[in-house]
Amino acid sequence: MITIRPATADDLLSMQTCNLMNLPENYQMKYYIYHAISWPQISQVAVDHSGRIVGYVLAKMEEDPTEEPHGHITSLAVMRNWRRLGIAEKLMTQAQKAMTESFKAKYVSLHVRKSNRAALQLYRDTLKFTVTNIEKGYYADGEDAYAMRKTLIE
Amino acid sequence: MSAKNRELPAKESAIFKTVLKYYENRQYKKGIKATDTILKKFPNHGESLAMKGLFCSHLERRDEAHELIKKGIVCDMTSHICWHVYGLVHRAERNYEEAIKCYIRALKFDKEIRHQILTARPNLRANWISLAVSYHLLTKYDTAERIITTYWDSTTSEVVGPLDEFENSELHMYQNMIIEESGNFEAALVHLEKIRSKVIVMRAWREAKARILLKANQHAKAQVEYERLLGENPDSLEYLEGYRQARGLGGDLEDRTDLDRALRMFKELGEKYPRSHVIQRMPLKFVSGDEFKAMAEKYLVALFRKGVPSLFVSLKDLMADAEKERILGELALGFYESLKANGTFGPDDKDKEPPTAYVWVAFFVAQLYDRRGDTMRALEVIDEVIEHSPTVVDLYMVKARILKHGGDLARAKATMDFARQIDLQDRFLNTKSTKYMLANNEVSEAETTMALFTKQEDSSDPLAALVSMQCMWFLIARGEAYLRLGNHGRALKQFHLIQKTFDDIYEDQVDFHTYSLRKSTIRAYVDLLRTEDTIRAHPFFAKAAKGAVRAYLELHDGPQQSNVTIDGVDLSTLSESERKKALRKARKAELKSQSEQTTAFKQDVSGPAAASTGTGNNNNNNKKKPAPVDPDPEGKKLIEGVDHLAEAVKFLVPLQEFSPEDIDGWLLGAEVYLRKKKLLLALRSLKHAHEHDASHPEVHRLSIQLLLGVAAETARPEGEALEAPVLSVLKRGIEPICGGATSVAAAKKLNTQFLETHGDSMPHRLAAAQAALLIAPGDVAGAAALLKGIGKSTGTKAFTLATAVRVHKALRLNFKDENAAEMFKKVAAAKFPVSTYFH
Repeated sequence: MITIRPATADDLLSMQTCNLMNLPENYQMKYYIYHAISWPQISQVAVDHSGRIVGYVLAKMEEDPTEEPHGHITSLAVMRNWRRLGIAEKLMTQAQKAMTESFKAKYVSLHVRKSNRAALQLYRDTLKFTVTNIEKGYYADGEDAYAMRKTLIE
Repeated sequence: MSAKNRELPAKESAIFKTVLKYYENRQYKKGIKATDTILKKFPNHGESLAMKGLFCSHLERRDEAHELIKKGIVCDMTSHICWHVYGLVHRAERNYEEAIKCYIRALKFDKEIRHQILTARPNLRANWISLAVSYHLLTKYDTAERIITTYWDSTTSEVVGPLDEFENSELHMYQNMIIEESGNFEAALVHLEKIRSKVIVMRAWREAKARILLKANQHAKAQVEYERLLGENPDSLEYLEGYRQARGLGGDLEDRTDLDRALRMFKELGEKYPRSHVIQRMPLKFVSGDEFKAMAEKYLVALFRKGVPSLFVSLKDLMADAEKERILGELALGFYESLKANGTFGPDDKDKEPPTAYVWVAFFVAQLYDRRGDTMRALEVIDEVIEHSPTVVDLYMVKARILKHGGDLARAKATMDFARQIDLQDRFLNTKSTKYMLANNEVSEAETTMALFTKQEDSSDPLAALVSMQCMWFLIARGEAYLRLGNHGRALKQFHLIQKTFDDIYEDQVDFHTYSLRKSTIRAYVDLLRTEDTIRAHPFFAKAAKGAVRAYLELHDGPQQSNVTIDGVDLSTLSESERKKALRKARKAELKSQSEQTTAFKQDVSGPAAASTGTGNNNNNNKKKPAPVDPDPEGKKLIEGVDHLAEAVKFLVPLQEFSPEDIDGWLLGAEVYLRKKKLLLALRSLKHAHEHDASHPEVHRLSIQLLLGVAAETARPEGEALEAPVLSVLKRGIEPICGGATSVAAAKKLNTQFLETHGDSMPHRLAAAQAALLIAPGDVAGAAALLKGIGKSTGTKAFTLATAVRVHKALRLNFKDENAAEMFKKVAAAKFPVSTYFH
């Protein structure tokens, strides 16, 4: 039984664990807390019947006053064996709703490793993001990133 | 010296004011010069001494700083400045306990301060909020709420900017949270309506309304709200449960009319939200028999067609029910046979399914056999489907798990690593493979594999990143591997790192106290405070604490043989010679590899936002520090020249406090305190364990041990024995656990009774035999006799691999009966056909 809900402080350690198990980009606990305190209710988790976190989206707002308000996906992961249930899409839908409602986000942006074709496919085909830019050497190991975005409010 | 000497002449007083300016402007060297000018004339001016100390501490002159401040306090004990400075220095050194003491002192000498703060700058919202939060946390809801109301009253004229809009909205919602928690639901509802136009976070507002309406028993209104919420997020269990309750259909639905109504409700919701997983899945919980079978069939077929790898795992809660487990098994096996024979799920289906249907059904069936303990058939099915679809990674993962459960950790690892190599980009596969390597005690292989995903730009030690990124599962698994290998120093290093990580996470909250008040996100802040209060209740902490306690117990007991046999902990399937071989191998690999500095860590984090790995997301400003070399990679300092039992207690206390529901903590407590001869504390632990599971085999063995201890105390001559009141408390205390008497004869009787009641269970029979050995240490043969025919003619229940290994080891080491061990090995070998321990 998969349920999608906003992340609470109690979820942060499990989100960190899920992140470390699935993705090469990792963050200290403090960074998760920073998200939870700065932009409460926009990050989301997917939880199974036993209460285990099997997916999450860690999201934030970019607060540059010279730009229009927009959200940014810091990290999104779904455990490999919990794929094909549409969890990533559902997590993103809820995060986007919260961004527009609470912070009037006009669009949401994210970065994807150039080599990560599965993720690119997910963001482009399923979640309807478009590539806006290629950022050279964005990742720590020198890999380029696709900068992608999706319009939320016209 | 005291306050009298605080007043300075006009000239020096002016200098002191510039001193404070220097501090604000971070001009520490200038500050020292200025304080020196005052101190030249007034060497005992406390506040100047303290300020000089503060400057020193910012210039990394730590010892001097402490000396100066202490001297300053001695000179002027009642100065709030001196105490405040001392608090600041402690805080900078992350010694929060001392810092708080100092701040409290400072406040004592400046009683007006809180009031002053508020009246001097009434518009400073953070001050009002922090006061309200304090009262809220003290559960003084009325006062907390009144403070916020007063704040609103004092700021009505304020112009509301766009940023303030969100902050005000959060503050309104926080105020409502206080009212809700006070239990005054009617008032909370009234308040919600009042703030509606000012709240931006409408979802949170609506959630609060629905929740409070339900609590206030206004079900009809609650239903409307939950219906709307489900429209916003049909995958929310909370909304679905709320909706169910609001419609009067909550709970287990044992009444048939209720169940029928609920099923209709789920059907309607399912048609409205066909993509919601919770709505499709939940009814399976409530139905049974043929009804369950029909629903489960539809549910399974849909997910088999989709090819969802988690399907089996996701049904575990249903399989806790024996009937449901049987039906799900019958369904899956029926599909399996039918797909193999006709390519359809059932005989009546006309259209053939695509071949993937067979793959996922067989995948499911293999897991089913594994759950039933039928390793050979599980392997047969999974091998068959692997041959059919050799590129599906998930199949190898399940095969690896079957082998792990069967006790062949080497092949399990090899299989998982094969899966990893099919898709080297997937970190999840890397994680799994590393876990299996560690389970097979291959530490250096695991480190090399793990490092494929942790390479930092120019870091010399890729594993240091795991520590700084708080990768706790890895540290714990590595610690457990070291523990199985008998490398206690290195094992303890891992467990201590976990303790340190939890300390760090606990301290993280400090940075957010002021930050969240500024942001006004107080609901999230209070949520954080509550989480941090019990952060050590997390299973990672419990695991590490148990590992550490076991390591210290083994160190205390010495290399011979530890009797610690907590269920589910000693999964080691290594024989003594294998263990030594593995140790040698590990050491060799270690010398070769350069991963010596594994454990050193401390990333310098300046603000909340700077705590990422430095990959993207605007956090590229990470400092690239090489990890310092670990001066004690073997963890010698942790094991040599320390009181092992005292160290064990340091892990035991938080384990018991934060995970009181975990029986292992109490069992380990009894082990530690019995060794320390602290019988009352042993009794306390045992009583808790007994409450959890009175018939637990270890509870029995430890009860006998305690009973014998008390009997021995009673038998001692007066003057040498425990004091009478202590003894009487002990006797009364163990009575409910052990029955009346406290004598060796009583222990014997208790053991016989236990054997009669639970003797058909293997772990219980083992515990009884071990207890017999405690009662009559000389009669090894007599105790061993209790294990005659174990696993064959007696003690056949709960015959798990882990227990079997324990029995075999005990037969050889405790009961010195090689023949019996050999005989048991044959029985176990038949039961666990792939176990490397028994073959």
